[in-house]
Amino acid sequence: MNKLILEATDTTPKVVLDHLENTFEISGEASPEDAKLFYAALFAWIEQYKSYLYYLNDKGDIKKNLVFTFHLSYVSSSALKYTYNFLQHIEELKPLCDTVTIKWLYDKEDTDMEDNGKEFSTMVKIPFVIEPAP
Amino acid sequence: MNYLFSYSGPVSFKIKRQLLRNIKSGTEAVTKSVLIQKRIRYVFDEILSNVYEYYKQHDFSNETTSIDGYLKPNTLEFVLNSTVNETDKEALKKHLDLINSLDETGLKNLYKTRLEEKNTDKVTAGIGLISIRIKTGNPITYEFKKTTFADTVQLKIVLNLSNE
Repeated sequence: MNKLILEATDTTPKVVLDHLENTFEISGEASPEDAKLFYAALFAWIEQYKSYLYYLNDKGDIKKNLVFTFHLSYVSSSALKYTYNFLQHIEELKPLCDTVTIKWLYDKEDTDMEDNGKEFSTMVKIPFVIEPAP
Repeated sequence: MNYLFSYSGPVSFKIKRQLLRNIKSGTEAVTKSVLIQKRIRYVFDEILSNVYEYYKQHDFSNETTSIDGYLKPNTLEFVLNSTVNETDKEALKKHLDLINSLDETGLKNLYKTRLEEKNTDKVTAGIGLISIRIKTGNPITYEFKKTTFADTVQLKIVLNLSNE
């Protein structure tokens, strides 16, 4: 499988889904014109990754510790809905890994983004670390 | 009357992006708070997104929409006028009445419920108005009007410019 790297635009976030480096990050603005289309690529990648983890587990490899980092500076309501769906996809990786954690970073003073992280942490069964971005 | 912005014309994603760029410097002059700047952008973004998504669905691309931002002491009042189908008025009224009747806890519960609904395409418009209610803390007032040319709805949204 391939890693998924998407550069940021003024309406879409930077996406790094790199299973080889064990780096999973989404950062920047998320207000795409077509959120469904943008997030479709992320959902497709995570489904592939799930199959890849099944394969590793079958081989008897040591289970991984995954940290998905979100640092969104702005999210439209449609992108927020798909972000939630993406978190649900991540939740499905749990049985295939040792640990899965969401690191939810927010810009200092942006309590709305902090609240989004808090809401999500009650909606999916994955541990969240919610903190201001360094 | 002080305006932070005033626009009347067609609405599309590109036009919305341009308008957001245009209001950025004015917004920064009105408040130093990054949170409030983001909330101004959010309200502007969401209500115009709702309009053009609705217009796309109903082939209203040539319809005119107006959005004005009136600066008042410690508040910014958004006033939106857009076309609405006669048949959609009741559903919009019901949604607005519901979200205006809820307190913060009720709104957050409704917001979560809508996020968890499976039909993503259908629910995103409703989520935008709920989150505007949560972020502003104020009811969204509305009025349906009938002109010679179209049925319209006017929404008024008041955003506090000082941090709670």
